[in-house]
Amino acid sequence: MIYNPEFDDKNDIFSTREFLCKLLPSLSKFELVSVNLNDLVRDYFKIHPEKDTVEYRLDPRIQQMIIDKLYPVLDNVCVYGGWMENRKDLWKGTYMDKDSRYVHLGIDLMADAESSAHSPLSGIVEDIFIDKDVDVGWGGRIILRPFDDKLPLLVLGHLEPKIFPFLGNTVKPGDFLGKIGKPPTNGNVFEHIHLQAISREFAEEIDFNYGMLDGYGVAGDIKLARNNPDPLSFSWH
Amino acid sequence: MSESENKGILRFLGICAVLCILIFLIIWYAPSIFKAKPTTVEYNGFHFEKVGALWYTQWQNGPYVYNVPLRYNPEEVQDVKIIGELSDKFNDPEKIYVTFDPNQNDTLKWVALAKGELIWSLIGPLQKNATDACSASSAECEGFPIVDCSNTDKSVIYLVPAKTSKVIAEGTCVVIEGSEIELTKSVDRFLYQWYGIMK
Repeated sequence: MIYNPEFDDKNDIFSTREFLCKLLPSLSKFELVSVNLNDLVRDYFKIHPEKDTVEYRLDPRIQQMIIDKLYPVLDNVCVYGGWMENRKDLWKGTYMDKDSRYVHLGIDLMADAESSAHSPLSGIVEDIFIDKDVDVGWGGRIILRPFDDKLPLLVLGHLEPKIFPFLGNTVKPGDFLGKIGKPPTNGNVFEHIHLQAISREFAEEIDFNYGMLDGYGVAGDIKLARNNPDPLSFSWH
Repeated sequence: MSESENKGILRFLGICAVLCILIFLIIWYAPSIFKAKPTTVEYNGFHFEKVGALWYTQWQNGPYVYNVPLRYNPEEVQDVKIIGELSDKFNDPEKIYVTFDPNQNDTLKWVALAKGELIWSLIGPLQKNATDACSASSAECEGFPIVDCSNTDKSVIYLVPAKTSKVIAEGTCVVIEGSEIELTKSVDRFLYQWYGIMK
């Protein structure tokens, strides 16, 4: 273990807000509030048990409605969160049931469809993927490899699958990457962007076969947090 | 000069004296009243910056530099004592159980806050396999393992609301104590030790 108290201009400590606003500039006018999405959904169906069917719960319009209920309560906010959150109530009835793959490996940032997503870092577009799966798929997905090797790779998911930068292109902070997608082409989920960090070692371990990359993991797997550190714990630049 | 004119001059001089004293007091005390709290702290070679409610520093584990957010900076937790020692067994566990008593309803929100801060650091930068547990069964703890310090075959961190802030390490169990938000202060003291930022 190495301790590194060294600092340089590129590696300033940043706030969550600064990073998320760099990524989605449209958020700059909002306050950011961290929310446990699974608890939100679980509490909704506790109050409305008659509506708790798989079809209803997995309907992205219903998920969106449950999230949107927060906005009149929390004035002028944008909701985000979810790293290592166990979402067994949110995704009950999906492919995740098979091996209890409910642990969310990134963070979700709620934003309206069509909002522009920009690069928070200087790096290379390592992978582009259009996932047509509508059972909690990725939709449009980009993987960025930062030039700074002290940063892991960054995955951006649930984008509009038509607009993308070119594979292998260099990007710098602020460069336009794409737009927030909407269901069903965003993987058939509520409108948001999924941000997931993946360690460079893990990328090598899966032999850069990003097709097998999942946004969810099996609870109790010690490697989950190591392979997918909290994207909010880095100074992306 | 008439007596009334004398009184007028004396009154004027009296008012001037009071005003002078007031101005002097304002100039003397204003800096300490309006002095902004520091937003950066240097400690043991680590730089801390306050962003919102949290203090951030950077810490490297393996190839990555993490931004570590904690509620208190090291100077603020210096008064929290760490008593005792952990056995080597604690450092090489399959799992670290972070446990609490779910039946102390009035303190649960403080425990939840402290637990969130502790678990984030454990599974994030420190890369430990931390898992939620409870020290007794209750409705909230359904599905969670029941663990406390008597489980000497397990590595346990037990969060206990108590009047004094302290950290007691014994064998494979760490008891972290504090009252309300001070519980988070004790958690931060423990984490600073683990990060190697404090001795």
